[in-house]
Amino acid sequence: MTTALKVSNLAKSYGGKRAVDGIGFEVRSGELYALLGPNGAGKTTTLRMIAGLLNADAGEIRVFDVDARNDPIAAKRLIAWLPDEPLLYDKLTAWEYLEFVAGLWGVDTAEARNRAERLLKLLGLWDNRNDRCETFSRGMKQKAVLAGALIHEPKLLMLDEPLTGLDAAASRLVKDMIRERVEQGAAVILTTHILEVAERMADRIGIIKDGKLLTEGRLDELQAHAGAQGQSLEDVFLSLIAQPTSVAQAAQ
Amino acid sequence: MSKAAKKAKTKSVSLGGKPGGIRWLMGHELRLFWRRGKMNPRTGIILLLLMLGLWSTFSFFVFMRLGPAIPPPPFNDGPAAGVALAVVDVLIAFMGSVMMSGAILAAVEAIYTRNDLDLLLSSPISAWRILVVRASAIALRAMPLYAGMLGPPLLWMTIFSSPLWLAGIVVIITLAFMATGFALLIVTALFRLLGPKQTRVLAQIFSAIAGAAIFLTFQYFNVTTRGEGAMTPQQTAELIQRLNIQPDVWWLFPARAFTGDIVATLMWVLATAVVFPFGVYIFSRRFVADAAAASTMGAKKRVADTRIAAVRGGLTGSVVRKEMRLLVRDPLLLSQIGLQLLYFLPLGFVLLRPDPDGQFQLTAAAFAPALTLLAGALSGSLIWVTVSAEDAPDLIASAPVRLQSVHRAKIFAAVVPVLLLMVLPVIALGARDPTVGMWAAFGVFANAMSAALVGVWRRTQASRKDFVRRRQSGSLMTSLGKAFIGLGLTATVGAGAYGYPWLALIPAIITIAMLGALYKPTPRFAEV
Repeated sequence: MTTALKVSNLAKSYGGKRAVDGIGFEVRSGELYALLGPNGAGKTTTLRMIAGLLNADAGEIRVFDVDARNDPIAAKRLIAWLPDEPLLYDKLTAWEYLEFVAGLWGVDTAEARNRAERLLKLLGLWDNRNDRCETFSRGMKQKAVLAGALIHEPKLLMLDEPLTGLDAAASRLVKDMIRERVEQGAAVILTTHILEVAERMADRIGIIKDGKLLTEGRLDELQAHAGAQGQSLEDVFLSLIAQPTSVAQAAQ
Repeated sequence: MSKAAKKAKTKSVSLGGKPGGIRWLMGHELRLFWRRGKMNPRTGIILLLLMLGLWSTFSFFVFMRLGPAIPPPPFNDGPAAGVALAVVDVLIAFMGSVMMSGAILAAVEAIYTRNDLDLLLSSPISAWRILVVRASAIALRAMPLYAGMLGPPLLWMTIFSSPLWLAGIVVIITLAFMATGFALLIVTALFRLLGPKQTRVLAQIFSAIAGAAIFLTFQYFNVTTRGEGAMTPQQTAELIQRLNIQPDVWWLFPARAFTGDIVATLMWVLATAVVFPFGVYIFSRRFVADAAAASTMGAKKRVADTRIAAVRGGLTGSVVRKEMRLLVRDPLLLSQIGLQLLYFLPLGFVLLRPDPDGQFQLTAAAFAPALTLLAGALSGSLIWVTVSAEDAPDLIASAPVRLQSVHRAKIFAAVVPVLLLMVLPVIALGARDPTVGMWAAFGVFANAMSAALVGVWRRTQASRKDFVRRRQSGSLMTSLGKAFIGLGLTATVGAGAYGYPWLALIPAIITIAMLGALYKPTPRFAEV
């Protein structure tokens, strides 16, 4: 399998505090990699650096062998980034939003329209295509942003908490779409606090804390690392980040 | 289909130009700008064209007569031309300062509320191109007012006086870009010198001062100089000779560019061509780092007093404490509210009119309406912050309390600080003239209360960050009603303080009628 993303010794500080401290990992094409960690662990900062939204202080980011720090434009052509907060243009319609995103990524206009129609129908937004995004519910906004992320058919898809605010049906739909992309050969990095989702969907999992990668691997490898064979990802995760696993422990 | 749903339906419009190109990106910026308001875009265009048409027609008849009488530019001969150019210089400085103040706020907003810049910057379009377009859009947004106001007269002057007046239009357009270039440099410098924490507040103050400085200076001279009517031609000639401003002095360069001195115009355009790209370059070089610093700002913020406050004072106490804490911990909002005071300074100038001996004299009666107007404005702002910009309306709605009680507490939170602020000036006024003091006390209380009540009756859900644009969130009728009530009470108090209590009845009745028209009963329990 091709290496879609290779991150080495990535570092970022904010005013003396190390937000990301020498992180390194690889994601391959056709693989779903879940990046997990407690709040403030550095997940979003890492993704923002890969997406070219933040300058790294040190380290290397290679997207399909393109040096993203030296040639961010070439790297960005291959990436889609879905932020945790669905940021849409309130005053644009869903159709205009998708057309605009397609234009940013240089998708041919006719092709963009075909893809927009397909995505909107798939996500159940076709009837709302001429509605301004300001009228959308949180779930509809999330779906519109996801459609925007997929419209240029990225090879590397980075999803920051993609299931937040979605109802069960929409959540299933989004998960199926992500899985489909992976099966088609795209690489997906996903951050989530819903560990069952990571457990069920991810091929490999990386756990970060305080800006450092604690461990990574398949679930059985993490279980072995934590000495917690047969336990759920939630138990493994909490034991690795050394958090209390019960109310009684927390009280102590 | 409901009215709201109909309004939400918009004919999707494709952008012109090559996707990702400058024209395409600019089209996107302008489309968003155009749809920002509540007005239907088509109605907006019709209204705008109508206003422009009326203004163009009116100015056509004025300049058809005046044009041939105005000496054709350039003005480069003698002190009379110097004085004329100085007036044009002040006009340019006024426009430039207002444009710059808007651009400073827009640049700061771009750093702190990145919104779509995350999407744009994660696309494979160069950050430079994106920021050039965004900066150009900031400049273009600053232009319509002045281009609309001065464009038609300059056009008719071009036809009826001299083609060199076209240079004025060129200067207005380039002025917007130059002001934006300087604004970007100022914001970047503030960020470097002060860091993210102080930049936002200081930029706010800086932009307000930049926007208001020339206006206030005008007002000061306008109000404090002796109002003895127009000068005779002889007096004017003497003044010109005394001032002895030569048209070729360096500081008249912008005015010379405006009035068709071709070399000066070219130099002006050249200067803009340097300042604007330089400003964008410096801003874009630092943008990502500055935005990152701004996004981490406050991440480690701790409240100094971590003691758990005792629950006291019941509902009113809790609401007032919460509102005061939120306000005090938001220096940006606090500064925005405080800056309203700046625009009341011209009222203060009224009190400083020179007497015939050239000594300033105080007019005590003028203080009463001034304080009344100020109290209403401050109370209106505070009630907007506490009621319309409530951060957790769901929480309030789910609480087992009557909504009227919550609103009563919020009115208390909005009005009491204003009254406390006004106590000293009102007492001082009362000591000087008890009648005026009583009128002032009545005006301050009545206007603060009525502004708060209207704020509650006509509340709209908004966010604190929209404070500057709060007037756009309500209906036009409500905004007009609020303004009439404030002015009506001010007129009432003014008439009373100047010794015409019967005259005060007229605006007082109008104000009460307006309050009645705006009244809207509060439901027993909140509905979100």
